[in-house]
This record gives sequence, structure tokens and C-alpha cells, in this order.
Amino acid sequence: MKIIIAGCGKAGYNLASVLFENNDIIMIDENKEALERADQNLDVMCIKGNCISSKILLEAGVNNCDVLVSVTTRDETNIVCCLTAKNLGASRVIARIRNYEYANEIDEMKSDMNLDLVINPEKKVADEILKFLKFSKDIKVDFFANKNIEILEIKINKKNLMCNLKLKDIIKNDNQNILIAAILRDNFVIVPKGNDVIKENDTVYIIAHGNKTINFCQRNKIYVNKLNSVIIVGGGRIGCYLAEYLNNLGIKTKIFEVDKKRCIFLNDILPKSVIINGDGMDDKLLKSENIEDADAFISLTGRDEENLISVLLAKNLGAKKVIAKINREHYSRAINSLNLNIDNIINPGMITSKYVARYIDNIGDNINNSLINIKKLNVFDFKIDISTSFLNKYIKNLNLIENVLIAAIIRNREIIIPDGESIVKLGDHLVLISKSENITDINDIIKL
Amino acid sequence: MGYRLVLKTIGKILLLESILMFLPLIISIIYQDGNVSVFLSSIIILFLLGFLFLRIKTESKKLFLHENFIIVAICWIVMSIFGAVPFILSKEFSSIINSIFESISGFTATGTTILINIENLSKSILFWRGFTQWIGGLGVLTFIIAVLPGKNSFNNMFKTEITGPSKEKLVPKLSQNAKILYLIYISLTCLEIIFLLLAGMNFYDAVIHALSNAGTGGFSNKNLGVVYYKNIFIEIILLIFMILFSINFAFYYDIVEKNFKSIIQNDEFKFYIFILILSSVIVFFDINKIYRSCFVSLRYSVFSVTSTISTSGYAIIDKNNLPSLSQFILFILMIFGGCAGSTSGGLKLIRILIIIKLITREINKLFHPKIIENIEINNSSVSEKMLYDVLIYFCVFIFIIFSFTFLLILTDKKDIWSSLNIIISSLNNIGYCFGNLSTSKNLENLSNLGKIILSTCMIIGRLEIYPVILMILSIFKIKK
Repeated sequence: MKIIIAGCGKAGYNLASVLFENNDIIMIDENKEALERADQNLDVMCIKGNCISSKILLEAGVNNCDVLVSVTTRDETNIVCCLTAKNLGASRVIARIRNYEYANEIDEMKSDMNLDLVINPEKKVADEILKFLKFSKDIKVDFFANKNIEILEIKINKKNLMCNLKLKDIIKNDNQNILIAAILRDNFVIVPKGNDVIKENDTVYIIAHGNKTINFCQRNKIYVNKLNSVIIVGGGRIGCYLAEYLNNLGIKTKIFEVDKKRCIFLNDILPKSVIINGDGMDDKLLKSENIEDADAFISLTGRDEENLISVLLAKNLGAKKVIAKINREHYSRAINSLNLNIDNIINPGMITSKYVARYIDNIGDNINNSLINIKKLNVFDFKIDISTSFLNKYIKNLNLIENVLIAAIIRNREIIIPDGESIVKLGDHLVLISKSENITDINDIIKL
Repeated sequence: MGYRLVLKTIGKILLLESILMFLPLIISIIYQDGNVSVFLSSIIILFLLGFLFLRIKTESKKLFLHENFIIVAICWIVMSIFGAVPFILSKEFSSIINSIFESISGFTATGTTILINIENLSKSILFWRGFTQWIGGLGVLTFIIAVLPGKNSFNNMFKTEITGPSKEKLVPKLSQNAKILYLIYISLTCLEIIFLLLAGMNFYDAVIHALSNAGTGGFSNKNLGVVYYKNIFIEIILLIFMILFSINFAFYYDIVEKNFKSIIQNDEFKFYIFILILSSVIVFFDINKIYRSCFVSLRYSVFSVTSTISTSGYAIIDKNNLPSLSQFILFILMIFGGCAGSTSGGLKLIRILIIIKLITREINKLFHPKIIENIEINNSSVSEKMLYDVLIYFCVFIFIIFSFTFLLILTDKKDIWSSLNIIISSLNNIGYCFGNLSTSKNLENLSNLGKIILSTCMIIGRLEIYPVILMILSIFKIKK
């Protein structure tokens, strides 16, 4: 695939290094040194210039490129670059928009400006931390539909209450919107019906609203991390997003921030969090803020060294789980080789570039709508338009092909986990789960 | 350093070389010149060695820049030496050193020949001799990159083999790039064969001339060279293709892509044409005094100028009898060389152009001490680092010329003008020079050391100096 990456900074370089082996990459940047580094180490083509100028974009071949990713330092540049590229004929455009003020308007931006994907690295990193905090390592999680829906991969053992129950009974016990989307048994994927029974050693895929999964798991005695209070050091953008998520889940958060002005701002936007104006490496302060009660301690300041030290300190003082953000890749390599007592290291650059790379890989496989590919299971997202043959029909009346499940309906940004009485309407998005990889059109799922 | 990786790359090269030797083998079978066993045994030797080296297990590891340089240099030396195996086995050369000299002269597309009577050689050997120039012209590692599935570690090796200071890619993928270059190379070569056939050459001669012309080498299978044919059309065809092979191959890509704007903006190309016309005119008026026929003078002047600047080295007149003005013009052109990104040798015109612009800027600075002025090539400014690189390269180039001339005078005690000329001719991969050493007979009488010095010069020139220097330094480090 032909991919243009505008901006050869940390993110652009990381992205290129993940993608270049299987794709044709063209990088645009105004900084010659940055380009030289990419040219030396990666098999890419470099063009020096302004990525908004259509002359430069055309020189890079934007008119026949498959994806343009804009990751320059400024959000506005990224947006304009994507708009220009789309006008010049790029088939897909991806913009990085990281400004906190825009964060809640990203959906509007995406649809208004016809962007195919918007990356907010800080939000993505916060997601990643949240996943790690919420679920034990045995449970794999993926977010989709703008992160409001979670898909969980759970290995069933005897202690689970779900074990040996019929699907319809599980749902009945649980009056919440939960969908058991698939069962993986002896390497066979089953798209289950109400009468199927969950057995020991099955892997079950569950789809639900993000804020309901924890309750569901706890009720069914699936191990999830107990999370009552979390300490975050550094009130940057990642910290804000994370605190917001945690607050919505009803988890107590404390944020340490050195800058007083920033503290006041944080207090404004995060009314539920406790904001503390102080240094996260100060052991007395940490003790006085009851560090030993913290279920998790996350250090997200701008300096890798500080994160490392405060995390080690917190672990010593009794924090249960500690996570450090490390930006520089060679640092994380060094830390891993030291065998320090740290639960997780988060590398923001790699997280975003892997996320984008996965999106791009999925385009390349021609499953242009597949969001997730968990083992033999594919998740698709389709928009319902006039050409859809089953508009305004009850789902129970549809004659679906084998092994396909309508997992969710997204209507006006609301998510409906459908039952037989649900109706598909114009403008909806359908999330489908299927064993088959080649569903290219929504009408393919109806039996002829 | 990854010695295993070096050996493995050498293995690949040897395998490739053994495969390429099937072509002369076929020639040998067709013409029945008794060299079938020679090529068969060469193929077996190279194949076994290559296979052995390929079996070496290597860890995949990222190479540093200097390691790439060293690998390329070693590969070229190994390839040239093993390319001499058929020459040695056929016993048609007077000594092993001579065989290796001829092989290196072939692979580096120099075209200096040590053979006194070329026509004595069998057809398959002559074919292999011409074919080496074609292989070496664009580069072997480039070929490997084009053929084998893409590996990142080859990135810098590719850059080492492609000539000239600016190495911009045509397309993002390296392997794709190499494929495009070879496609252009092969199609131009085929085109030349067809034209030569139309002009009345027989098929065998046409192939040999096209192959060596493509690498801007200048081997011929006749003692007299091009003069043998006494055919103006052949000369014109060779002339045109010498020009075509000595301009940047990106030019053809732009034509295919209909990117005419960048062709018009190409300063190096314009400079090339300017130099060609200017020197042809000067040489024309200079030799017109001797020949007294406009047509003959025009023919000789244009052909000599093109043959020199494209570093091909075909000769149609006795250079040593030229008037001194013409001799001097051609001597300067020997140093200039063709365009970057082509198969020609020499300093490359883009460097000359940059140096000229630098000089004007310096002079300008004397008039306006505070002036800030960017140097522009192809409508975009050249970075200061590149200017610096070009200057340093020029200095190193001059230094290498003088030091090797010194060495040659030390070993062979020839006169200064001849020694300087043969060194410049070898270093710029021309194979055509003034002075005593321009004849094969005198070359053959050189001492073995002298031949080694010249061979080294050819490889240094083909790889643009640094790789060989790095290799020599790294060998000395090992001994420490």
C-alpha cells in the first residue's frame, strides 16, 4: 500500500518503522535532519516541504495514495493537510488531533471533515492504561465504536458462575445489555444461540457497554482488578483523560501536579478528582496522602527519569500496582533489562503507532470494515444506507447467514445491544461479528 | 562487525555471478570455441563457494553505515577477483595478475585493456569480458536488491553503489527502485543492440558493444576498436547511447511518468549538454586545422568529447597526436565525468556544478561581506552539509590522484604526464588516456605492483572513494 506520512517527528518515525516493511512509505517534513534519520534507518522516501502545500502533496503522489497520515506538531496543520489530501484524491486520511479542547468534538470533526480516523494519542494511552488497570492479564480487551463498546475475551474456569449455564439464563440473570458474541471451543468458533451452554475451558467473547463490563465480570466471579483509588502523578493530557475515565467508573482519583496554575485548571475540568499541588517524588507527601491505600499508582510526567523514580518510590511505600510512562524507547529497553519492580511501562509513541498500523493493516487485507481480528473472529462496522435490503425490519425476522451476529447498533452515538425486537434504521452503524473474513457488503449477511 | 554477514553477502554475490556465467557458457556452446569446460568449472567453483557461504547462519542485525560501506567494498573486490576465474582457466591471458586486472577493469566499467591482440581470444571469453562491464555498470548489489525480496539492511549498500552525491529515490521501496533502474538499463541495452544490428553490425559484435557501452566501459572485441567498422552510423549510434547511459536514470523515469517539469528543471542535465557542445566546438576548431574537412573534424571532435565525458573511452583517433588544446580539453573532461545516477564514472557533473556555484558565491561574498546566498540546484537549495560533503569529496579526490600517481611513479618510473593520465583514467573508470601508457603493450609491461595500483584505483573510483578507504582502515584495526 502507498502511505504518505506528513510529519517526521517521533510519531511519524515510529509509525513508519512499524509500517515500512510491507508498504511504500513517503514522508514529508520541513526538517531536513528528521528526514535524514528516517532515510538512513528505514526504507522510505523522503520529501522536504510543507505538507499543506498541494504541490508538495502531489509530488508525494497523494492522488493515488491509499492512506495519508498527518502527525505534525499542530492539530490545525494536520486537519488542513488531511482536507487538502482528501480533495486531491487520497482514499483515506488519518489526522492526529490531540488538543484537549477538541477531544469531545472529535466525532463531529471526523464526520464533518470527512476524516477516516482521528488519533488522539493521549486518549489512546489513557485507554491502554485503563485496560491494564481494569482487567487482569487473562482477560483481553478491545474497544470499538468510539470506545464505548468493549469486547472482552475471557477464558472460562470452574469458579466462574457462567460455567455450565445456558446463554439465555446468563442474560436473564443479568438484566443489563450484555451480548455473548462468540465462543471459542477447541479452536472452533461458535456463534452462539440462546440454548448453547458455556463449558469449562471455553473462551468467551462478550460485548457490552464499557461501564457495564466490570459489574458483569464481578457478578459472574470473573477476576477483575479491584480498583477503588488511583493516584496519578502529572496532570498532563493523558492524566486528564485517565482521571475522567476513572471518575466515570466511580473510582477515586488523586492527581499530583507541580504547577499551581495547572492544578486550578485541573480542578475546573475534573471536579470529582482530588488535585494536589505537589511533587510525586516527595515521599512525605505521598505518605500523607495515604499511598499505601492506592490500588494503582501511575506516573505520567513529561520526564522519563522522574516517572521511573516516583514509581519505584511508590512501590516501596506500598502502592499495589505501579505504571510508569516512558517516552524514550531505549529507556524502556534498558528498564526491562534491569528487572525493576514495575508492573507496566507505557510507551505512548509505540501505542499510537501500533494502533494506526493495525488500522492500516486491516485496510490492506481488503476487509476494509474489520475493526478487530481476534483469532478466527472478525468484527465489522457497516453503515446502513438506502441500498441496505433489510431497512426497518425486526432483527428476529432476518434470515441471516450462518455464523454471523449483529453485535451492536449505533444510532446517533448511542449504542444499542440488539435483541430480536430491534429495528435497523437508516443512518445506523451495525457492528457485526462473523467467522468469515470476506464480508464486503452489508447485504452479504442475508441468506439469498 | 558482522563478519558472518559479510561472508553471507559474498555468498550471494558468488551465486549470482555463477548464474550469470551461464550466458558465456551458452555462447561457448553455440560457437564451439572449446571453452565449455572452462565456464562449467568456473560455474561449479563459484556455485560451491557461494553455497558454502550462504549456509552461514547470521543473526539479523542492523548494520551501521560504515559496515555497509565495508561490505560493498569487499563484495566488489571478491566479485572482480572471482570474475577472473574463467580468464585464468582458459589460459588465454599471460598471467593471473593480468586476468584479474582485466576483470577489475571490466567490472568497474573502466575498459582499460591489457590485451595486445584482442581478436586472438575465444568468443565466449570476449563475451564474458564485455558482460562484466554491463554487470558492474549499474551495480551488483543493486541487482541483488532488485531480485531478492527486500531487506532493510541493503538500504545503505544501494546508496553506496549508485554514483553521485545526491541519492534520491524514485519510489519509496528500495527493491522497487532497483527494479526500475534495471528495467531502464535492460531496455536501453536491448534498444542499442537492435540499432547496432540495423547499422550493419553482426549480432555477436552488436551484443558485446551494447553491453560494454551500457556500462560506459568501452571494451571492444576488435583490436582497432570502433575504427574497425569504418561505419559512420555505428559511430553515431554508439555516440547517442554513450550520452544516454551517462545521464541520470531518473531522467527516463520522469519521461515515463510524464514529469516533464522536473526534466526542464534538471540543472545537471542542462550543464551536461552545455559542456558537451562547448567542448565539441573548441575541439572541432582545434583539429580542423589538421584535418581540413569540416565533416571529419566534426565527427572526430564530437565522438572524442562524448567518449571522454561519458567515461566510455572508445577512441577513433590517435589521441596522442591531437593538438595540445584538444588534449587539454579532453583531459579536463576525463576528470569531470558524466551525470550522477548513471553508469558513468568521474567526479560527476553535479559536483562540478556545485563547486562552480560555491566559487561564485565566495567571490560574491567579497563584494558583499554580509550576503546570505543559497546555492540552488534543480530549483531547490542545497543544504550546507551537502556543499561541505562535495568540497571534501573533491579534496579527497585530488589527494587520491596525487598519492596514487606518486605510488605509480615509485614502482614503474614512467614520465609524469603518462602516470598522471593513467591514474586519472583508472580512477574515473574511463580506460582511455594520453601519454605512453595509453597502449596495451606498455600497460602489459607494467610491474605487477603497478597493475595492482591501477586496479585499486578503478575500484576506488567506482565506489566513490570512501568504501575502500574504510575497508582498508578496518583491516588495519583487525591487525591491531
